[in-house]
Amino acid sequence: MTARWTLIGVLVPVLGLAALVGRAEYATRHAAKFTIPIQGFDPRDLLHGQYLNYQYRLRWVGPHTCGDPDHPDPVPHPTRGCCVCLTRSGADGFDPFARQMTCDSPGAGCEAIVRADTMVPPLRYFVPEDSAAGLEAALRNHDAAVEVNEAPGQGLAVGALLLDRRPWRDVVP
Amino acid sequence: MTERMFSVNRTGAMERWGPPGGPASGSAECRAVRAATIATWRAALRHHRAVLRSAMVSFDARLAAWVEAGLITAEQAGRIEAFEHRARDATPRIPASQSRPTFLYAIGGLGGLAIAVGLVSIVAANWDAITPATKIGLDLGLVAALGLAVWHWDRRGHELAREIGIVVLYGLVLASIALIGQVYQLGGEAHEALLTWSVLTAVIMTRSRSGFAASIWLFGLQATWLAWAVWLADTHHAEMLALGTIYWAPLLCVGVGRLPAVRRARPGLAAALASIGWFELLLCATLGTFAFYADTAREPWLDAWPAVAISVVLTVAVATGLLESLPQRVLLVSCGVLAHVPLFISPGDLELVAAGSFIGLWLLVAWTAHVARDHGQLSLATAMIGLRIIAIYFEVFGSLLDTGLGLVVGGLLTLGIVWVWARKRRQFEQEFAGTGVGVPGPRGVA
Repeated sequence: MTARWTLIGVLVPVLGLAALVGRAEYATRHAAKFTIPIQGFDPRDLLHGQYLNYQYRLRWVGPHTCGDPDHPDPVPHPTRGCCVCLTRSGADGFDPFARQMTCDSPGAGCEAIVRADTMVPPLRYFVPEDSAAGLEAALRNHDAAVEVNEAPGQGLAVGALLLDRRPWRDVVP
Repeated sequence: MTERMFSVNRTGAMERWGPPGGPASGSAECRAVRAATIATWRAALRHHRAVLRSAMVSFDARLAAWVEAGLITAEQAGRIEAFEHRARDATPRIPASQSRPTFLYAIGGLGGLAIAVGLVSIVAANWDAITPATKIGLDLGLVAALGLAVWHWDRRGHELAREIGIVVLYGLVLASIALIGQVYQLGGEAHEALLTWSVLTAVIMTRSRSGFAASIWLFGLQATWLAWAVWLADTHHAEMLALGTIYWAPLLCVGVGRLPAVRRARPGLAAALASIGWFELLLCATLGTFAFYADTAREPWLDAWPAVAISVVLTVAVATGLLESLPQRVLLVSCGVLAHVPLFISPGDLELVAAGSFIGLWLLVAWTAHVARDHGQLSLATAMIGLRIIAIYFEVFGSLLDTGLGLVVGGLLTLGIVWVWARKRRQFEQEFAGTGVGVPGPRGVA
């Protein structure tokens, strides 16, 4: 009986972690994917410590109201229940259209609805120390973008960093 | 008959109860033998003095001391020593093949540690180059292998290995959740990760037997609790309600630690629950007494009342249903009162009330420890009271410190308290020794 409970005790975390991986894998595979162009948050200081500080260069459509016509704001406000509706502009999901809306709106026509607080700059992307100098130089000469997936809870999962639509490691030696 | 001249009383002292043997006492021969023997044993005593000074009292030196003090005769000392040597020689020796090669273990451990550090360094240096699938696959494999090892050690009865394995598995599961979050970047929150960790490891942590593993588990559970209280405060703007729920954790610890089933099945866990729970309750109550310094009565405490009501119900339930001694019950209720009431009513600047409630609380702790014959906690409680009295002096007569008289009186007060404290400690030690304390007994508040 004791050994059985110990077996259950060690199986639960193993199976639970496997379930977490499966859930994350499913969410990643079935989520809407986009590639959003980015630019440095501060062009004079692209890399800060171990991170690239960046902001999305979104292709806004519609008024910057976040669903509130009395308070127009070009930057989505992270604390007002503001979300961003993303819609593909092409088949590959590159440079999608972005429209401000309230998070509880129906979101008709949106392929992904993302909380604004996940898109408000500055955003950070981890850069290995040995590649930092090369990446900083490459960022000034190439168009940068990041692959993103819609994540559960109106989140945004950031994937690969691209330079000229290619993985950055293919560009930076 | 001469071998039964002495008995050992409960305090460990030798008592004489029969006639001495050996040569007729008072004869010249007796005096000569005795003088020569005493000289010999004195030499032995000198030889062992260094050991005695460092409290490493050897058996031979103790024999010499007893002879010198006239407790036993030199002849008896010689026979005792011979007996002990025979007994030691008769003890079966562990063959070299079966003995633990400590030196080899140490070298092996160092080698293993070097390999582990090297592997971690290699993984860290190439972290970015390792594919996500490889990271996740290796991690799940490691968790599965360790889990299998824990199950194996549990079946074979390797308790130390099982306990270490369970603790490592506990940490590894948390690291795995963090790794999954880092690889997939799905934007989970810390409180969700901690809850997942606590749920996934709940069963295996109940299989541990040691107090160490139990303590680690309890800290993990309380960290999870705290993370959710912060989430409640931030997300629902219910700071006061969240603050009120924090008191539940130590209360539950004390209550669960007193459950007969838990004490019977997992004494290590029960002890850890009681120790951590009481420590945190006392911490809450002690901090509560300092609320009298600030004006906290105007805070919106109404929001906290649902949580406080549950705390009251839990306190009454634990005090009446699970605690056995009156001092513990009074202390539990007092902790609840002092952890909450000062915050609700304090208009601020009540230094003497703060000090009085602090001293009252620690007097209760001292009473509880005294009834339970817990010398360590009694000393701690009296020390806290003494420090608080000194603090009161400096608070109330702080302006006098500018004068020499204030410093002199402050110094005298400090010396007086230390003197009283040292005296009471000795008194309690003698009292406890007289009642046979020294054997494990019921603990004060743990």
